This record gives sequence, C-alpha cells and structure tokens, in this order.
Amino acid sequence: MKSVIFGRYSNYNTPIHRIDPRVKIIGMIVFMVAIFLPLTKVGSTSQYEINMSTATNFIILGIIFLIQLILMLIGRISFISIFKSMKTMWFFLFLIFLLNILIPTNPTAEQTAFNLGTLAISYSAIFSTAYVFVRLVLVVMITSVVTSTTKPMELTFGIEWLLYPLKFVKIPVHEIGMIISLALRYIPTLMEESERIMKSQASRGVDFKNGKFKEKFKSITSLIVPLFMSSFIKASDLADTMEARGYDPKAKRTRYRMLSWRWVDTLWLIVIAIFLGLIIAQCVIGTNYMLLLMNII
Amino acid sequence: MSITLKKVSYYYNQKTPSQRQVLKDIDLNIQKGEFIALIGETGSGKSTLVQQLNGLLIPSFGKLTFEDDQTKTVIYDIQREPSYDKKLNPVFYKDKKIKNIKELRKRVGMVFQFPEYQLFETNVLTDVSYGPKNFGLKKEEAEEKAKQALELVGLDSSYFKRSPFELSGGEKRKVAIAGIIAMNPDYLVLDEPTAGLDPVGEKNMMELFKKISDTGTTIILVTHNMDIVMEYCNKVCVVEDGRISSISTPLELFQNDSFVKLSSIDAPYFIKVARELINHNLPIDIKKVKSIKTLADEIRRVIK
Ligand SMILES: Nc1ncnc2c1ncn2[C@@H]1O[C@H](COP(=O)(O)OP(=O)(O)O)[C@@H](O)[C@H]1O
Ligand SMILES: [Mg+2]
Repeated sequence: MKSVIFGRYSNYNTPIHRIDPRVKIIGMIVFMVAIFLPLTKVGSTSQYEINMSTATNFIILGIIFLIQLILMLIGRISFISIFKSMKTMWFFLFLIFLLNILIPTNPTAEQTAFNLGTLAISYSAIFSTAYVFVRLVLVVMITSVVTSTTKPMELTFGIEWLLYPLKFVKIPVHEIGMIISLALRYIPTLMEESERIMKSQASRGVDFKNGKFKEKFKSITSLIVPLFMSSFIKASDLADTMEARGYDPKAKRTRYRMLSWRWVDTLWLIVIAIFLGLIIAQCVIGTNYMLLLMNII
Repeated sequence: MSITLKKVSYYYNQKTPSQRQVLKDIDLNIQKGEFIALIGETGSGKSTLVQQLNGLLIPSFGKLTFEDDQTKTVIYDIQREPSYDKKLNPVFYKDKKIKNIKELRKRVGMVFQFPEYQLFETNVLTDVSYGPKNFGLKKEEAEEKAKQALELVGLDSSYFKRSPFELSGGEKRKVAIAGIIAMNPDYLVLDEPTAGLDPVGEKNMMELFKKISDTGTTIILVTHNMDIVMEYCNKVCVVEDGRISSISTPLELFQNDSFVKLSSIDAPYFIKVARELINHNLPIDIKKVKSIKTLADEIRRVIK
C-alpha cells in the first residue's frame, strides 16, 4: 500500500516547498513538454541524420535529468520513492519493449543490433524503448518533486487558479476544483481505511503478498468490497454534511487560505520561461543546426 | 500457556520526519484463561499495543514469545543496535525475522473497532467460514465451525443464507465477531468492541464475551467503560503515553485514591458514588466497597 505512484507530501521546509504552487504547476508542465517533445526528426531517412538526432535527444534528456536531480536534492525528495514508483512500471516497460521488437521493421544489416533467433532486433527498437524508459523516469521525477513539496490543498488551489480562464467558456472551474480537492482529501482516508481492512482480513488469515492467483483474487475481493462499502457510506455522509452546511456549487466562495505571490516566485517563473525558450529554440533549430553545421564541414 | 511481550518499542512512520515513538519498553505477560482489560486515554497506544500480539504490527525492537504447555516459541526477537542512543535517531534493524506468523494469527484472534467493515462475502455463512478456510480447514469443516460460532453469538440458521449487508448494525457486528471466533483462537483480542452500541447491545455483547471466556479462551479487551472492567475482567492494565503504568485487579486499581485522582480515567459507578459520599462526610471505608451490595452494607453500617 505504501508504494503509491508519485511521492506523498513530505513536511520539510526547503526553497522548493516555499515556491508558489502555481509556479510549480507551470514548471511541471514545461518540463513535461520538454520531456515529451518529439525530438526525433520525423521522416529522416539517412542513417547519419538518425544517429545525430538520437545523440542530441539523449544529451537534451540528460540535461533535463541533471536539472531535475538538482531540484530533487534541494527539495529533499527521497530517491527510494522514485524507485518504488518505477517498480510498478516494469511490466509496462517490458510490454513496450516487446511491442517495439515485434513491429516488423526489417532492419538492414547495419541497423541490426543483434539477432534473437530469427528475429533481428534493430537499434531503433532498443532506442525507442530507451526513450520511453528515460522519459518515464523523468516524468516520475518531476511529478514527485511537485507532489512531495506541495500540500494537496495548495495544489488544488493552483490548478483551480490556472483553470480560471476556462470559466468564461462555461466550464465549471469551481466544481472541478472542489472535486479534485475532495478526491485528494480522501486519498489518505482511503489509504487508512484500506490498511485497517487489510489488517482485519490479515487477522482472518489472508495473506496479501503470497498465494496462488485464485487466493490472491479472493484476498483482493476481501479488501475491495469493504472498501467500496465504506467509501459509499463516507461519500453520502459527506454529501449530507455539505448540504447541511449550505454548500451551493453556484455560490461565490471565499478562501480561508490565500496564495501569496513573492518576488522569488517571479524569479522562478522567469527561469522557467527561459528554460521553455531554450527548449523551443532547441527544438526548432537544434537538430537542423547540427546537420547544417555538419553539411558545411 | 502464555504470551509474553518483552521490551517492546514501536515507532510510527519510522525514519521519516514525522517519526514518533508510540510504545515505550512494554513488558506484558498474558496467561491462559485471563480476562484482561486495557484501559487508557485515547491516543495512549492501546490499539498499537494489541496489534503487536498477533503480528499485525511488528515492533521496532522487542521480543514476543509464545509459550505452550511444553514448547516455547520465540516469534520474533528484534534487538537494538548496540550503539543505540535515545537522543539520536535509533538505528533500526532492517530484516525482522518472524516465524510462524500465520500460526500466531490463528492462535490470537483480533476483533477491531467497528468489525462490521470486514464483511465481504455474499452470505453470512461463507463470510464466517472464510477465516477457518484460510487457516487450512476444508469447506465442510469450516462451515461446521462457522455454524457453531454463529450459534454462539446468537444468530440462528435463518441468518446463514442472508447477505451480511442487509443485516442491522448489531447483527453485522455479531457476524464479524463470529468470523473470528470460528477460527477457534486461544486468545481473543477485542479493541473497543462495544463502541457505538446501545446499553442493552453492549450488555449482550459482554455476556457473549463472558461465555467465550468460560470456554477457556483468553480475552484481551480494550475499553473505556469502567463498569465493564469491574464486572468482567480479572486484571486491568493501564496504558499511559505508551507505557504500562499499572497492572492490578480492577478493585485494587479503582480503590487506590492516588490513581483515580491523578488519571483521567473514570471509576465504576458505585466507586464514584462511594467517593462522593466520603466527600460529603460519610465515613465509608473505601477498601470495603467491592460492589453495589458491599456499598449498601457500608452505608448501613455507617448510618447505624
Ligand atoms: N497509522 C498511524 N500512523 C501514525 N501514527 C499513528 C497511527 N496509528 C496511531 N498513531 C498514533 O499513535 C498513538 C497511539 O494510537 P493508538 O494506539 O490508536 O491509541 P489508542 O488505541 O490508545 O487510542 C496516537 O497518538 C496516534 O496518533
Ligand atoms: Mg484505539
């Protein structure tokens, strides 16, 4: 139960913790864009071009990795938690590798990394798997940085604030914010509840870790059914409570805690903007520039 | 036959910023056949303590032994790092070797607060026989045990095929408790089993536990109701801030002036009445007050 994807909030007071949640969310989006930009030039045919862009891509991803590593160190995020979240993704990665291999590319001899029986495995298959892997690690890292340095409530405020413009196209931003914050609010409660139920069932001899598939299935049922039951009860209780206190989704709401913007936040925002600029610049001219350079020489 | 905890310390959120020691060097021995109460303020660590007894929580340090008539099994013995320093963060051993955890769980049945949340099967009988089946009984044997347990908690055969979810709160709780009793544990741990019941329901529930106790099962009961402690238990442990501050018979505990004044724990009703009378200058001898009857005797004696 402890190995949830992405870190839980950890109560330190580091510079990263103190950044405004809005800045952190924007920063996270920028990083995600940087991580997922399709750096490989689509349609390039020459082996040389492909090699070049592959190298550049890994250099760029490496730089992103270094930056995120520094952010993690500043924010005191445990590396163990990253490994733990990766653990749940191994299967996923394996599947991607398998798919990449099985897509028939008929590599030429020079493109073949090695032969697996009758199957020729191309460099590109290995590289694309490596891409996915590296990107996943990077995404997990940056999300962990944000989620473990920002209180869930702050995160919701941030999201709600950033979504605010959508209000003008009749999207119920407040309600979405409320739903997100309720969902986040109930994660720890659900975890506690499931721990409690697991303990009750463990007392009845259930072994959640070992056992055959059928036993495992049964033990999961013995957790899920009570969890659903109690969640429904909690949800309807909550709805009653909110109604009794006069909750009206249409009403204008005030905040108990206000987000306060400090000059450091502006600074961080500028840094992020520069980073974004660099990434875009690299994307537009990066590979081309390199090739250009090569051609001139 | 007995269970012994020795120097058991437990930390929540070990090795994180919110690390906190909840149990501090607990020594506790529970003999076969006892009906023992654990009392103490909310948050003093009672629930944490009882969960050590069947290995649901494994302590940071400490030893748990399980003694049979002939054999003595050390379930675990986790030692402190020699360089342990109270001020610095304690060093934790990584691998905690635990033997026979399943056997321990079979021997020590555990009923949590609001146990009705553990029900999940489609009918009462299968739900109750789930535990025994997990501990290796065949389906028929398990159902036989389940029927006996249901009978004991007072649910007749008309309940067997009903869905546990359509029962009343009290009945659900009985089903859940039957689910533990059906495993035939030697020790039954009850963590505030009567929370949220009306007085009659509470009384019935306690009579049930007394019946179970009479079959030779050891009962460990966490409760806030001192009248229950007085009436049913032959031993009472007071847990205060993660330590066991006293072990005695209920009467010794409640008659002790200094204790009742100091702690936030209430006394049983008749002891409170006796104390009030003493406060109002009726020279009753508190040591002679053992029940409502002896209180009445004392009042009579004093008035004469
Ligand atoms: N899962 C948990 N994580 C962190 N702290 C806990 C957890 N469970 C209990 N505690 C803390 O341990 C202390 C003892 O709790 P508990 O054993 O439940 O007390 P009691 O049953 O006597 O009310 C409390 O202060 C509580 O806040
Ligand atoms: Mg408790």
